[in-house]
Amino acid sequence: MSAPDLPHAPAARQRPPLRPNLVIGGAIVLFLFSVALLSLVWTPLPPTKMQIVMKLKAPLEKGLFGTDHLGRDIASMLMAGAWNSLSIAVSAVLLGAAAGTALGVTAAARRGLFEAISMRANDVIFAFPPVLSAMMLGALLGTGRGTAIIAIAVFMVPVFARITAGAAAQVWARDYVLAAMSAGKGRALITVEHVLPNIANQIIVQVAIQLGLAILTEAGLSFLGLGMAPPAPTWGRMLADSQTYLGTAPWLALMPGLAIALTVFGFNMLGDGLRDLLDPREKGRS
Amino acid sequence: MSAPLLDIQGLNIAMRLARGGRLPIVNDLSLTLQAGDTVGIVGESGSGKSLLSLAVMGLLPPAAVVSGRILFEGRDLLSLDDDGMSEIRGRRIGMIFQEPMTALNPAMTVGDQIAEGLVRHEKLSWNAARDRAVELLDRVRIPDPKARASAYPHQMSGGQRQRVGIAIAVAMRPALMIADEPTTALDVTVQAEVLEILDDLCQRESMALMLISHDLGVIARMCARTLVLYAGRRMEEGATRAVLTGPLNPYTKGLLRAVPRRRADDGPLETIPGSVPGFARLPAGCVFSDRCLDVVAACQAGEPAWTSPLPGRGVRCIRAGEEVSA
Amino acid sequence: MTALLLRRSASLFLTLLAVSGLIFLVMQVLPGDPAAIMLGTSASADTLAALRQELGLDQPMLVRYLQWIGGLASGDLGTSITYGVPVAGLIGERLAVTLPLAFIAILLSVAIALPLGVLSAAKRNGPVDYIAGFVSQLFIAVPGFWVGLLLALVFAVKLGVMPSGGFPGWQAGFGPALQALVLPAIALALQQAGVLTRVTRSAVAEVLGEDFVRTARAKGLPKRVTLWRHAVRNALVPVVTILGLQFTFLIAGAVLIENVFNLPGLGRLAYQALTQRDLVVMQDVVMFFAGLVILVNFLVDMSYLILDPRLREASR
Repeated sequence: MSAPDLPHAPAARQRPPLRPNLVIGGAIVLFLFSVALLSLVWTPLPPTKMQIVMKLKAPLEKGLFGTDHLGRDIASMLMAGAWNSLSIAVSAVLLGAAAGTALGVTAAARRGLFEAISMRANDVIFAFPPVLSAMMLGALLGTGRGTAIIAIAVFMVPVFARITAGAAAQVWARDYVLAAMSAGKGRALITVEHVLPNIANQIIVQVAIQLGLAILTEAGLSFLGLGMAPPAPTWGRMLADSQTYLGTAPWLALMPGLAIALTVFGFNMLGDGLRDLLDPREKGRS
Repeated sequence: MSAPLLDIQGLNIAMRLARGGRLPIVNDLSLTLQAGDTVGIVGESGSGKSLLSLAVMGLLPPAAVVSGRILFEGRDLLSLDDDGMSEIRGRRIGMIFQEPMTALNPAMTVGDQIAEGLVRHEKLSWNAARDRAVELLDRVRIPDPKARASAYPHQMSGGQRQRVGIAIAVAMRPALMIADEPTTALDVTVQAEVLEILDDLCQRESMALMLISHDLGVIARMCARTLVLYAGRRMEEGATRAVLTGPLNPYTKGLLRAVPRRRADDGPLETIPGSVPGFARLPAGCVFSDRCLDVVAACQAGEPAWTSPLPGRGVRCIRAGEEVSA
Repeated sequence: MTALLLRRSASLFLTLLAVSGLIFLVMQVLPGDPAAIMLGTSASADTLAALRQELGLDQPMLVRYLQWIGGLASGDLGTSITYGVPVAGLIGERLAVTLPLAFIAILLSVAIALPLGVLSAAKRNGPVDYIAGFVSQLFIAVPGFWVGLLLALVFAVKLGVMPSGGFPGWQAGFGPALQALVLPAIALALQQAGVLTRVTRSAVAEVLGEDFVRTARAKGLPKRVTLWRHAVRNALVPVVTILGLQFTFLIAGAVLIENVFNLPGLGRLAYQALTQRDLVVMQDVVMFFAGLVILVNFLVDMSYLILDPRLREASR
């Protein structure tokens, strides 16, 4: 709307200074990382310890959240699962972000044929639903942590390549970059000195958002048996196992799903909050 | 004299601030229009003139707080709810906007954009309304109106789009037409023709016209009466010819001096020193005192009252009396 | 317009070709011997050699690739090792489950997201907006296959009003077949609905700030008409774009949901191919899904021409 005659009128809508999504998201993510790290040194019971006599106990009857069909302590499994989920998601996103960013900033620096080919390659990779490429890789390489990480990372590459290429192209059009060019600085140096610092915020925001997606995908993969190999507990496989006992032990299906949802919710809130904070242009987009 | 068509009394508009508190913009504004009257509202950008027109249309942004009275055909528009206003908007009051590039829906044919008001208010079928839209396009002198009715805005020039804007505004033959800087965004060559079309339609339909412009030339050409605004206040009002030839307020004089003339011996073009101050930083007393060439100490003592030193004239300046007796 | 269509079609064709090349490379070249993978370690040398010949592995790589895509073009996708039937027929059968499932899920997500997103945009920062914002965040965060599990738990196990899984086939009648797809479609739709709600809200909110919306109001159109006829219409491009981009996640979700509800769809087929190491089926199904994703995004591209008259003009 063309501004009504208001030379010094304040912006009609201003964000309140306290960003609840940032605080809530940050708190959830911090909590989950703490639990994941704690699980490495302490869980109520060893998460893989089976006690068949104690199988399928309801919450509080045995342990905080009950036991599964092999008598393992659900609370301990959830804690260990947090580590497994987060470590896979974080490794995959960092791997994908690094590769995608490298591709994106190179495309923006080199332009021409390299840009055309790498962006088309992104379209090609983006056409593979992550679960499907994991299946394909799983059929060939066998399933496990590595396959899951690679499958998710591969899917992240085009996401980061697109975002960084677009953002970097904007930086390249700025005067001080042109000045640096005319001062004889090389494209690689300019990329490191000017482009990357300027697009770092957008990358950080995107990492948070993609972490949520990676958690969801990891859960899906381990639900299908494409995640970490047993007996390592994962949230996805806990859900898969719960399916058999849906009628007799419905609580088995509850906690792992809530854990996944809470994690994804936390990362998404954090991403939204970071976006409001760091990248105001994109405000309100999803 | 019959009841006026539009009678604005003591209008105040303030903007709610995000930090809390209110910033007054338009202050104690009154204006009366008889049927068929033409009034020009002039002022620099930032004088509150667009808010005034939006207030009459009931289209102020949500952050605006408005008080006073806007009587139109005997009804107080400020007391109407949105449904009530919707019955008046378009049907009794038409409005032309400044930016023809953005004021039309890019995904709808111009014919349909003209027709939809007719469908709404005159309960025409879409087909009948589309036929009327073609007639209206013809009346705003768009060549080959039948074909152009099915064009999209991006397929037209700025001047043509503004004519579509006029066609939309006159479609229901409103009693009052509000034109907010209708030619500002147009090429100079196109301005004259668009003004002529507007003038012609107003006279033929005997519509009252409230023309908002920063351009005294446009006002002089289109309007019988002129109201000069500064920082949301009336500075001067009267018959256009009288105001332009015998301005009583130093601000009006400044505006006139700043109009480019064709004479070569005029010397450099004058400007009013400074710029419109922010509404949060208005000077004490007369709001124009910090830029006024004729300022005296008394100007800052208090806001001058609205006085009527001559019949049919109004002015807000403590020194206007000297002007009249001189 | 036709020139653009040709150009885009050529680009579509090239992308499909690149996808097929990538799949072929990954499936046939990376791991070594597909026959050994398919038969496992215990296979005898004779059966291995026989399978190798059946798969055409004795032929040069390029010949095998050309045979494969030649077969794709003519509808001959090879023969499944596990089922011993043509893969084309297998895919066709499974498609009759997956396509309706995806279609219902998309319809459902749009039916939820469009009103919710438009309403929040129209009443920004009001209670509806906050609730819709929270609900859409919830939908995005909750894994679809878990929602599937919970739906099955409540409606099948506890209430017994819905089948907990399986598919009677369309020959069992429209009603029962559709009923089997309802819970899976809901589970699949929620995440899409969450994403779409957010995009719709921000797109409509942006358009509502445009000048032409004020022009429409100045004509005397009530808010409701302005909102739907002018604002929503112009907000559709970003919404449809996301719908296209989300399609790949919809497919991923369908693979999972089909396994939760034991639906004999393409995703289940891919999973079975994985567990049975049927690389022929795997290769074809992955190609089919990737092709579907590319095709959907091509159609989204084309839909811009309908949605935005300005693009129609520019492409002429």
